[in-house]
Amino acid sequence: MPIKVSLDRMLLDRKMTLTELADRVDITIANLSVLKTGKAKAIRFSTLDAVCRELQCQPGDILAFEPEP
Amino acid sequence: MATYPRVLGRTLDIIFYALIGTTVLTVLVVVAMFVWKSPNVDLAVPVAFVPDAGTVTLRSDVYGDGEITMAQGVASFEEVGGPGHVAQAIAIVAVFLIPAFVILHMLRRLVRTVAEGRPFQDANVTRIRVIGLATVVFELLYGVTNFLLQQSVARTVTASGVDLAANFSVNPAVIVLGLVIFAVAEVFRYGGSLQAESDLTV
Repeated sequence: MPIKVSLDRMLLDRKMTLTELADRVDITIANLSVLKTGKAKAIRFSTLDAVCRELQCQPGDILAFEPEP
Repeated sequence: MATYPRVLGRTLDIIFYALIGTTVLTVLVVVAMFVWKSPNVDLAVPVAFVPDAGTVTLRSDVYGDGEITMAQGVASFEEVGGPGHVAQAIAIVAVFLIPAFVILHMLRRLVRTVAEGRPFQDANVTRIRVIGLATVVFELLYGVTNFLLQQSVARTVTASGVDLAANFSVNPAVIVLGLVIFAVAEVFRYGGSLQAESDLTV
């Protein structure tokens, strides 16, 4: 998948754990884990909105497009 | 668990175990008739026949004159514990009960996954295909068994007033139903791909 998710780096910057973020955005840890590990096939805007709001970042801070060679 | 699938699941369980009980009882009765010549149960066999020429006339203001070219029914014989009863029991088990068990077993598993909120699985696609196949096989087996039993009667029984014959027929509606069930399996397969997509959407 060319879309790379750097959620773990942002969590580190904001000194937040995945569990804390899951509680704040009301998404299960399992789902956030799917996102963090890059296994997600799609993300809802509502999820992106909640994550960016809690991490106080832009979507581009946690999502990047890296085309495959 | 959703209520309706749970109730349906319980109902299927009851039918499944009732069918097991009926099968065991049938086998026990047949064994008892064969070994102890008791209980005395009439043997019912399917028959097909044509009435002797001139014995049955049909007249109608709507349809005109006609004749019966083929009739089907059931003949009853007094036979206690003979090979006929054993053959009939085997035919019933093979033709009716094996496909019925297969269909019920698959349905029970399918409804359980629906009750658990996970109906769109590969296993269910297979189960629905098996149900469709069992439906078609059941109808074909029924037609063949009926034909063979009628043939056996025609060969071994003498009748007055009618010519005994054998007639092969299957209900095309049941065959079409089997095909519809196969189509439903494809819908479940597509549902599975949508489910997989949804599972990986956060």
